[in-house]
Amino acid sequence: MTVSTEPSSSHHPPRPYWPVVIVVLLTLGIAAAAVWPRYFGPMARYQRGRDALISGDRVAVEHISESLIHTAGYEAHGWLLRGLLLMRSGKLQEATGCLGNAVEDESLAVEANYTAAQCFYRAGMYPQTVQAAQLALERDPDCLEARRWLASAYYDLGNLTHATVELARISAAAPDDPRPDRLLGLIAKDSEQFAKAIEYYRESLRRAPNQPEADAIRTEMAESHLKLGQFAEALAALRPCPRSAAVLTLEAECFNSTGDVEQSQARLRAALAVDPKYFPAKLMQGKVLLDEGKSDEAEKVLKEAVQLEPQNSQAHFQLSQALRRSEKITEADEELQKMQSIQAIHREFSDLHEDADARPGDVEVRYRIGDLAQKLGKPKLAILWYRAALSIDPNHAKSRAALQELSAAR
Amino acid sequence: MLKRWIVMVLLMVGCQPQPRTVEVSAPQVGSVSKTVAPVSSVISFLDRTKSAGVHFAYRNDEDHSDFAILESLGGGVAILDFDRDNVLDLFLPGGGVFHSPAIVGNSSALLRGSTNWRFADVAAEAGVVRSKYYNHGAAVADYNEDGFDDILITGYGGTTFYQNQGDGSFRDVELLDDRMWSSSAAWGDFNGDGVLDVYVAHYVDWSLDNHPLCAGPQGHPREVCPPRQFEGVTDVIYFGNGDGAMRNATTEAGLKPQGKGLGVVAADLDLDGDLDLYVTNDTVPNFLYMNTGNGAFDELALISGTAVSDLGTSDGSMGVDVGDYNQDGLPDLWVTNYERENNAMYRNLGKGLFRHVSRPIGIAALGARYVGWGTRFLDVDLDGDEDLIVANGHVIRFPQNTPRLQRPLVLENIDGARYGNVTDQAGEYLSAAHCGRGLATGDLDDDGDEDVVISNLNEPVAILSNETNSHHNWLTLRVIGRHSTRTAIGTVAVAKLGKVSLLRQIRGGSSFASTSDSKLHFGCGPVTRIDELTVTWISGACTILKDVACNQVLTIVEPATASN
Repeated sequence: MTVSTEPSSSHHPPRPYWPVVIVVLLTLGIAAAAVWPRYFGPMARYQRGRDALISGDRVAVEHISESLIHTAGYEAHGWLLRGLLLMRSGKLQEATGCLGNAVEDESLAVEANYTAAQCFYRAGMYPQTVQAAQLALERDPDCLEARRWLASAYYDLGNLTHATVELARISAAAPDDPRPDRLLGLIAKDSEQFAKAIEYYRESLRRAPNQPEADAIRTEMAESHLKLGQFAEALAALRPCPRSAAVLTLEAECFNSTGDVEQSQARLRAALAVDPKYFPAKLMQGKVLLDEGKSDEAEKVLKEAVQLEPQNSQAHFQLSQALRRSEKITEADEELQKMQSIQAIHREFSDLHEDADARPGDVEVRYRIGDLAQKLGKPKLAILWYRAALSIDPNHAKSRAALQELSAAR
Repeated sequence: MLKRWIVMVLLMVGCQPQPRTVEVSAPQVGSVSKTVAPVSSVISFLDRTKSAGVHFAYRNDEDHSDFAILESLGGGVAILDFDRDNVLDLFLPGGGVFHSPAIVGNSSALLRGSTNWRFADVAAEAGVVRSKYYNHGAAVADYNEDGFDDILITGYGGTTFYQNQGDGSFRDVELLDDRMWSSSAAWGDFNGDGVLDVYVAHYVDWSLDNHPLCAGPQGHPREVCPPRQFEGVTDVIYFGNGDGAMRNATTEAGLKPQGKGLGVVAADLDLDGDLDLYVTNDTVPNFLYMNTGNGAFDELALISGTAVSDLGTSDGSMGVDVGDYNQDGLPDLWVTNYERENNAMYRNLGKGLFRHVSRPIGIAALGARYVGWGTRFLDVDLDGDEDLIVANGHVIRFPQNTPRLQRPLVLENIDGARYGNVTDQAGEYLSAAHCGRGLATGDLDDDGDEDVVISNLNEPVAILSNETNSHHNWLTLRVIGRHSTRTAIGTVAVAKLGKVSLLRQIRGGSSFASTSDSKLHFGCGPVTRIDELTVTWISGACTILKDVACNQVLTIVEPATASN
């Protein structure tokens, strides 16, 4: 079979194809012009960059942010992306530098500011956190993220009055979020406003009864009820909680306060079975023994308690009573002296907290609270206060030295 | 109507010399049956104020909205028989006003009692209506031993001493050179010289020049400042010279500096024959002054376990009284405290030691939601054990944890082992909330049980008749000292009814800023005769009576010789 390669000798002249090409090209061009910015324009790149951030594609984010920084009109987007990436990499100071460039674009300023607030907060720079969050809120008073960082910074600065205001706003704006009310509860409890604390805890649990912190909230709520002498309510709050030493001891305290010695002692035994070194249970056991007139047994138990928490004034006080009843007067006097010196520290500690609330920029107050927290055997708390001091004055030598010393010890 | 027997007792039975110290081993809670009446009665009080024609109210001038701590203390009540007509009368400080630069007192009331629960205000006729100072308390005793009760009024800027003239009138006498802010006072012969002395509790160094602005809670720009905002002022003790004058003996008595005193009671706490003192301080440790025998004191509160709460922390302590709640023969201390702090029962363990027992005896079960003020031990239902009554009310304007107006508390002693709250059943007044402060007790209607008068802030005083229908028997004991001072503060009487011994003691001061009738009251339950009644005078003398009939007011005069 032969195949001819010759063009067909038809009788029609060949049609020109170029108009079709043009039409196709035009169509493609129009389509490309329409689609290009969506898929390949700066905004598209920016969006891809944000997706890459979420997926953890660091290289892509770096590449896109770099290209945006050099794209006229989209520099701020590039800086924001880069700032976000650096924050996630823990390079907080560099991140805040980039975010500072991003605030130039009005549409990004709110996010740039609250992200900067987050960076400052994570770097322990609480006054700067407050500033950045406030800048975000000036532009968008409804920005919850900014308010969260603002509340956290106030809390860590010891400025509880402002923290409470911000948390209440967050609580109102996010009616399903259980966290603000939990923190409000904690602040109210620390401020000895127990009735208020209970309201906040209830609200937090109403919003999310099964939140991960639910048992801790119930325990804090029970402690508040106990302070108000609401023993039945305290027991009810503790009922759903796992039988930890803390829960059992709180229950023991409720029963002890209502004169149900048998139940109280059963709970105490159970608490010490769960954790033989649980200080509150040990202390209470000593007190109960003293109430029963068993001075020798009380002395033994209370000595163990003092060893567990040497900075607890109550333990020294009870031990002094046990010793005095056994006519060990010198030892009893020594314990009383220890109790008094610890209480003096506690008094100053408490007074300084009020000062810290009233004077948000006072470095020395924060350093002193840290120092006293250390003396009271609360190193974690001490670290927080030293950090608060350094957030106000990064060159505060005493805070820095104390923090280094504590970190080394840990 | 119960027959009133007045017995001038000169047929004394000799008794053992009074030991200087009493050693009693620590009893177990509830180890001994304590009551003479097994069936409890329904405790009930009737508010007689309106029907008695009484409208008098202590006014603190809080409407002025200065939020001064001065306005928070309120006033006391004194129950006395100023005209010796054997009907009890009332003296009520009126408060004051503070318009810068002057702080001045309101008029006081002297309500003369008559039968059928009627009272007439005779303050003007008696010459006690005027008050130089913003006043709080009234401490009553027969200072000049003339048989008529005199009145010391405490307050801001100074004290006022009204000497009873014996003719129904009083004379304003400059007795004390005290210009500090005084709250409560307690009379007693502290140095054993047979002349009355007085302890004056001072509060803090507030003044119009030291009047800081304290922020209120949310929504309230201002609140009354807490006491820790101020320095405490050292209390003062005055010893009587015997010539009508008094001298400041604070240094020789060895009083501790500062303190923020609100309440004071004088009693023989270790039963060693001299008067001790217990002072309730606000937010700082309380004082326990044990008398070394000649009017010098050792302050032993911390060592004894009475300075602080069971948590080892200082309470905001206000009212105080001494009684033997568990009937072990040792005087116990009862202290009312601020909210979130349990009222404190310090059980006397002997040997100078006390134990805070509010939890085991059910006081903590009340809930720490009261701000407690005036208080007294009294046997409401005449069953032999000592019940308690407490006036409550907040000190600040906008409290967050508890209401400002609070219900009083009536606590029934259950077998000397526990206290139960019976306020709900105790009548309309006690079931309602008030801003209570001072409180005093006395048998106003001579029916054998003690009635109660409560002073409130800016609300009329409440006169409450004890209507507990117990059908129990009783004995009221009036003691008159001879070697001891006439008022015989510190004298201890023990009534033996079968196996139960009831100890009562005449106290100086007690409650908050108030004075109760000095007669001692014994509830005898169904028992109609007391096997033995022993009166140990503060002078060391002793009087023993056998087989004493109940349902009488018995007057005993101290024997002529001090030894017996």
